[in-house]
Amino acid sequence: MDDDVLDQMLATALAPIPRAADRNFVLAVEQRIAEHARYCAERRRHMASFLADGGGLLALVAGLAVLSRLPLFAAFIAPGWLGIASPLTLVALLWLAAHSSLRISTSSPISRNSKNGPHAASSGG
Amino acid sequence: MLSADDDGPLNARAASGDRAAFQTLVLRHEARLRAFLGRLGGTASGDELAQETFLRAWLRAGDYRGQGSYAAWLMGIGWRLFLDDARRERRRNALWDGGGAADELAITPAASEATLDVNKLLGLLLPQQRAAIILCDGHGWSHGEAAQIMGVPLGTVKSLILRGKQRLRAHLAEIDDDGR
Repeated sequence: MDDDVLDQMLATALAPIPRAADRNFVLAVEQRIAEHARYCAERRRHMASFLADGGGLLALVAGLAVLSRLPLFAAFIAPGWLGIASPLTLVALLWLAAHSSLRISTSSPISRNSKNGPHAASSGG
Repeated sequence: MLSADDDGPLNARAASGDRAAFQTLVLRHEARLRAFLGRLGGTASGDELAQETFLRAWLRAGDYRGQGSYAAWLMGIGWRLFLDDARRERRRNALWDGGGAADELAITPAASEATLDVNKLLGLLLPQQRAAIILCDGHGWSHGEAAQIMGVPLGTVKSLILRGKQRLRAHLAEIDDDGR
């Protein structure tokens, strides 16, 4: 095939078809941006919660470590760090279980929010 | 009517959180970007990638400082997203097919017969060759602009176009011979 013919064929077939701008696509992009913003907010919230949990656990560990040195509690806990591992694990699990169930019961899913998102109003008019 | 020269200031406003300015940019560039990505990966996946491209453009609006045109910057984001998507697809196929995935990407045929033929033809090419030909021959970008969009040297773009067209010509000649 002649070079010019191929070039002409490609230029004709591959040129973007002229059309009016697609406002539905703009709305879809807007929705995507809003969803991303919500996702980032959720992630920040979870990160803050995770850090708070971590801080709480650290405080518990420190508290138990101090308690284990007191003569009153020393009898219940075997000497050394390994000795306090099992009560620590138990406390950590209880803490996490309590906190997770609390978070699940109070958090609202993104899908529920999206119905009332900024685009609900804009798409209507 | 705003011109493409306004893209920079509009993007600057978008970078400071102005959604209306960004909407204007989306309206202005969506057709060309979707046409490009649709040709590369099929209409549905092209639209998905175009949305993702605009999301990235919104999040990284501050990164564009007028180096080249805004349209080229946008197309560059879309091209890199397409490559990432294609790599992921290949890995997924390799995982499911035990490594027997095809190198060439499947293209969802568009409605018209003429488009179908061109898509079939483009399917014979490597994605890089396809992109270079679509950008330069179809969309009218210069070789230099295509190089900027694809993030490759100018010589590479020229070579991709040359080899791509050689492949197409050879295939068309085969069809021609079979027809006789």
